[in-house]
Amino acid sequence: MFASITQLYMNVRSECPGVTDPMIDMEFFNAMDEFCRRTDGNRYSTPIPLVEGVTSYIVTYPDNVVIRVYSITHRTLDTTSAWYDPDDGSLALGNPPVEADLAEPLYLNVSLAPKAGVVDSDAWMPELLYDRFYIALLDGTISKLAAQIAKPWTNQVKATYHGRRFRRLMADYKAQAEVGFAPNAQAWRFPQILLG
Amino acid sequence: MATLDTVQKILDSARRLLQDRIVPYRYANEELIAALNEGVLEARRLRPDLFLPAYTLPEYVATSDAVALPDMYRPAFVMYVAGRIQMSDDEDTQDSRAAAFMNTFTAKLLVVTS
Repeated sequence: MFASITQLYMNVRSECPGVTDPMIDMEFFNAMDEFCRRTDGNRYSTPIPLVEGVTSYIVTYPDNVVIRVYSITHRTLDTTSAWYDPDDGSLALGNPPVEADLAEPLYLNVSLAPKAGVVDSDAWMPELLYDRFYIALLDGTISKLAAQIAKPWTNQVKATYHGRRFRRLMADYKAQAEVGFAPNAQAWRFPQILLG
Repeated sequence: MATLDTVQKILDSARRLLQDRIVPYRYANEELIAALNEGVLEARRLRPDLFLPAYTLPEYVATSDAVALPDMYRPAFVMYVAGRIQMSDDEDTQDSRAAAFMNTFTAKLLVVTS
């Protein structure tokens, strides 16, 4: 378990007295899932080594669910007609790679959420992102636990307070994710039509 | 004793509350184990999360069985066993005491201040 997740569990145990670890596991998953789906913060770029003349590849994410496919990019290969199907993991290229395209991998850029049934939370997201989103995930987990019915840790005031913080932080991270977590990055793209 | 990690330890603790510590016991082990199993069913109704992640209910048959319940909630089951047994014995029954045990069991499962 990553250090920040261990820290999160320690925080939750003291904020929600009486809560059991399997229950934290469940609500932590729910907070993670909601966070990833709303913010697209868990973006992942998969390098795929190309093989000359081969247009079909299999790319799977066994520990995650693919929420969105952002782009399929390559420096020299035309990927405008490339297609990725998250259900079966098949990646189809419209144009077969030639020898000149093999120097660099193709990149499949996706947004991921945790997959139900995967117990190891370390597999859901890189440690760097857990550190970055720590406060949001902590607020989300506590708000979901405090909102439960008839438990020793049920607390409507805490549920509301942490729920508001969770939603506000998700909105912030969503905006940051749109510019690749680079606040001063260019927020617009040069119109492709003008490139000819 | 402290961890109440076996059925025997829960029964010993319940016998202290029942003042039934000298052999031959007033209440047989089988009765106390049956009460513990009823307590598990009651806990399933009040706090299904105690049986996460598998949601399978443990059923105890022997005093040597390990208790598959979260350690911080095991004292509640001592209360249930004592309360359930207290209600069952007509000669020794004290209804208010039995009710106090049962209410403590419920409170320990549902609220922090119990």
